[in-house]
Amino acid sequence: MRSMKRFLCLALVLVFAFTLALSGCGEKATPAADPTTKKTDAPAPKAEDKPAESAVPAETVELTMTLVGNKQETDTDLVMEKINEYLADKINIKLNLQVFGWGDPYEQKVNTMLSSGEPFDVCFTANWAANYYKNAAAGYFTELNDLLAKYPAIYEIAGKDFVDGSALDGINYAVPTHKETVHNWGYLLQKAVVDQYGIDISTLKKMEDLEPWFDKIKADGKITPLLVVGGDSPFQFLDWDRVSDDNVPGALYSDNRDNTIVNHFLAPESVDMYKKLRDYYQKGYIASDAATMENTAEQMKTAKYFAVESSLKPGKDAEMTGSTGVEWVQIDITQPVMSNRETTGAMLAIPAASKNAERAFQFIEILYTDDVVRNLLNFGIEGTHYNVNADGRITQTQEGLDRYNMGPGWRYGDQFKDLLLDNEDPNKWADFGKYNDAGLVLNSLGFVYNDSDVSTESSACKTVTGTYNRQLQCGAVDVDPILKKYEDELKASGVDTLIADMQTQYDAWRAKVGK
Amino acid sequence: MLKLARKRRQNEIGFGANTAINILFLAICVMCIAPVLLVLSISLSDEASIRANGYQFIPSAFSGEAYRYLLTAGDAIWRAYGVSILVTVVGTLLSLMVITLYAYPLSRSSFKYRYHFSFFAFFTMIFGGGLVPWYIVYTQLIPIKNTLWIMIVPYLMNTWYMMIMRTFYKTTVPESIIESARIDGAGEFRTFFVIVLPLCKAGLATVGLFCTLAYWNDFYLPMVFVNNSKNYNIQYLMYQTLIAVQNLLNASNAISNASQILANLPSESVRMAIAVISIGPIVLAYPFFQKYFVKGLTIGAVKG
Amino acid sequence: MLNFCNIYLYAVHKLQGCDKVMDLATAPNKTAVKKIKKKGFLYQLRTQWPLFLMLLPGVLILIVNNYIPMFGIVIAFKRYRFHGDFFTSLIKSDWVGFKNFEFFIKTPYAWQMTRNTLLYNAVFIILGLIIPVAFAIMLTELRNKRLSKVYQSVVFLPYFLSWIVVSYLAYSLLSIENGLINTSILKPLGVAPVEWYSEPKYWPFILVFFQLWKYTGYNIVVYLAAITGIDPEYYEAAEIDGATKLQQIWHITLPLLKTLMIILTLLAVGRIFNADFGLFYNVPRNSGSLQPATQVIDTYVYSALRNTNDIGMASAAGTYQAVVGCITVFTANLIVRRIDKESALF
Repeated sequence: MRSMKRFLCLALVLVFAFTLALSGCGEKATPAADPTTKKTDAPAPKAEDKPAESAVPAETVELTMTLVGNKQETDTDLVMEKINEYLADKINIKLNLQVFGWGDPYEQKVNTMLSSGEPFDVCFTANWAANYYKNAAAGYFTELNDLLAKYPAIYEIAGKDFVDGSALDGINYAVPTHKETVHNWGYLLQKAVVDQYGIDISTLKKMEDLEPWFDKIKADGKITPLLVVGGDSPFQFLDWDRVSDDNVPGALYSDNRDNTIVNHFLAPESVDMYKKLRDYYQKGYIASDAATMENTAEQMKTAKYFAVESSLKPGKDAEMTGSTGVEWVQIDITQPVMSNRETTGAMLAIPAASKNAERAFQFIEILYTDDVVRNLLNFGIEGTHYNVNADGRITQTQEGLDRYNMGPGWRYGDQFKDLLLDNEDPNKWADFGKYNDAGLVLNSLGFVYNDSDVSTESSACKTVTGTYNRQLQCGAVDVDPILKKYEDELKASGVDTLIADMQTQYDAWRAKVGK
Repeated sequence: MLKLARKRRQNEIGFGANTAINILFLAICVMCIAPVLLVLSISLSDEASIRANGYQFIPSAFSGEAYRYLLTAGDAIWRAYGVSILVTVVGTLLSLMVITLYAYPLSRSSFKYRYHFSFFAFFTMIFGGGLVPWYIVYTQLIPIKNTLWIMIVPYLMNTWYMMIMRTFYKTTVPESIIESARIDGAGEFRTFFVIVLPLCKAGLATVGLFCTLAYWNDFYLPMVFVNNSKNYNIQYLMYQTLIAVQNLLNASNAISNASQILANLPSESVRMAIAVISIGPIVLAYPFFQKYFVKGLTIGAVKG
Repeated sequence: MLNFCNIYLYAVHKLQGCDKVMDLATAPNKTAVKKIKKKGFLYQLRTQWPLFLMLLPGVLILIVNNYIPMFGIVIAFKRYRFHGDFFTSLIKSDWVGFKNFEFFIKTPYAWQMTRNTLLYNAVFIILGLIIPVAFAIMLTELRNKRLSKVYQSVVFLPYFLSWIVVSYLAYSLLSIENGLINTSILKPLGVAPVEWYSEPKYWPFILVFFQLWKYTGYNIVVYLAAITGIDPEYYEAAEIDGATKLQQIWHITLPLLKTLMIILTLLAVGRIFNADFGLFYNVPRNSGSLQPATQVIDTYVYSALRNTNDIGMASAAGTYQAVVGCITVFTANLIVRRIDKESALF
């Protein structure tokens, strides 16, 4: 009887133990205790040691870095071990890499970590991931100006103008990847079809040039002339210089013609484009299920399409040939420009809650200066995950593809230091350099819009544009009837207030920087 | 005797009605099972045949490729599968314990504060503090974020299941039994474990099934709390692959590499195969609970 | 989490209902209550400590998981700016009154999403009442009891599947290129393929279908359980009086199910402002052109907040739904009490 009671009390105590005593036990207490599991979220030791610039800091600090990607690769721990080993006598850190899935998983995780003030050290952010503008304005990221001055390598490598392009009111909250600093738009054409019809691609300079070919291909009825999926639509050829996020109305013309911000979704050029696409759709150039197709790459693999709109850079065709197994050639439709799209397209920031901001910054610097670390991070371990070929390019092994397939290094540091894959042009980096130099620098470069005063209007407009853009940009709906509705709903959402606010801030910024 | 048998037959529905109902239910059953079978068959289809013929009930070209991929390259998937099973088993057991213990005093009319504690539990269902404070509790106050516990603890106490259990005690366990146990000198705990619980098997099975479903189908807790991909569960893994495609499209204006990334995501048949293996265990567990399930609901929920 | 919506929904009322029933059934008369009251909490704790000990695990979890985070409600009224750590930020951020609530009122979709939420829920409530009750009665009337068990098990199957899995199932049927309906049904019939994911007009039916598909089995079992609980003597007596099967159903089964039907309906009415996020977000695959038919309050709040990381607004949304939820529960209950006091929840 007594022992029974005691036993039951014990059972209860166990239950409490489980709610209370877990503090500090961390993962050791998990039922599936895994010896390889790393302690991931323990706050790194206090950085009372301000590392002397030249000497290697005595104390190892743990840095946590979050990246957006396909998934946490299986061999991450292995690769991290190598990196840490290599860095031990350089900056003496223990790097902890966490890759979260594209879209919601990344946003949800990183935003929650940021707003709860959880300490972590390096965070991937961009105009399309982890809400760079919002989070910088809300104080979630560390100011980097002093660090940039103290460790000048990043300015030297990526260029001061480019790096400062992402600053808010002169304060740097993140550093952009040094990669292509300009962009342009064009078509990728299926090589087999180009050859079959004997198309001279040097004659194709604008959208209209392709239309006769679309006609012929449509008439033959074997394949669909134009692939349109989601945002991958010729609408991009207008190349609006957007002020805020993708789906927020408000943009400048990308030829520096004036400094007036317009609602680009309803601008005459856009309306003409919608009508043109509608015409394409009705003529059967565009597949009837374009509005709901999902995966551009999956569709490209089918070889059922002649052309697809794409953002271009040197070697894009080879890259897509490699990843889709169908041969493509690229033609330019728009001119290269340098805009905020690039400066804030892929960046690393240091969260304000990081306990080791300086060391984190040193690590970020290493991503710009050290190709050993970069290539480990990008491709894994030589001999295991990839092999180097005679020409210096690399081939990923099956193990590499299955267990450490991080994808190219455009998310961090200096991409020009990377090894090339065997399907890439050996002159890729030289071509990139030329391409970067050819770009037209837009007036708005460096202007960062802060929507905190009109965030209600901004998010309301965003839900409206989210409803209409996709249908209009693939020609699935009649333009005129829907346009009126679109306009009304945007008005009701306060688009005018929003654009006026953009203009005010833009003018103030121009006055300040003297453009 | 004969008369009785005839009488019973008389109170049955007619042959026509019986047939009609049977046909109706057959149709409904087909509707319930068919989509699941379709997913199964897609997971067994050859990718090329999917592109050519679309989804079909009987694949025009069979292929075990999706499952082969899961077996070999899918470490993460099997790991997540293991996590799901472990969390579901441990979670269900602990949760049953917490719930049955909490419900018992509330079912006792001699317990003065039963209304207070009922309300204490009830109030949490209509009011919450939001994500971030909740997150902070599990990262700073009780730092179990990233561990498997985080997928268990938040769901341990469920007020609705607790109420089912309470009603169950009240209706199946007469106060007189408890009283006589007390007179015999048994303590509260002994009475509870030795006398009360064995009377409530059906209730335990019902609540147990609900808990199992809750733990197995959850993707929200890992989405919020688990950063270590080794501790992802299978639902979250599925959610990730599903959502990645949609979000990459939205971002494709901004990332010039979007289409290249899309090319590396799991193909259709693999995604469907993951769905199939995620359904497996729960379907297998059902017959185990079913024996008690209707009875459990009858007493627990209905007579309340 | 999404899966529990249905259960939670019942819970709110049921819980209160139970309390009330218990109140009436077991509350001792007033003088007795007074007598016990003289012996205070400490006395109770001393004499009934094992019972308190039993409550302890649940109480601790509720405190940690639910009560402590409630302080976060203040965020709804602040313009949250980060200052080093969460608590400092919370204190230092400025008060902004109700500004965080504006985002879901100041939108052209305010009407659309409210209408959708209410109409869908209304349809779910009505069909979720009629269909399961009818099916449950049919199942009990089947001659072959074993077959009835099999049906019961099979229709319960969809209840096990998460909305994510259901969205895969739906996609395999409706996908424009590959979907079974387009390729194997419409094509052979010579009908042009339907663009399911871009034509809002079909979606009210599709959504209702999948909602019923997933939950009907469960609801059938609930009503079946209630029918099983009816004393067979009623039917025997009715039969002796010469009542037909339909008369028996009409005059015995349905009246005895009435209370349960009202309780479950009330529960659902109380949640009429809360849509099932999993259904409305995952099944239509968040397709923009379907929004007129699929946008509900929960999905709007989600998509509006997804890209802002504004926890003030997120908090405001939660507070709003909690408050509106409370109001609807109490109102619905009040109405029922006017009509039929017995069936009211509290």
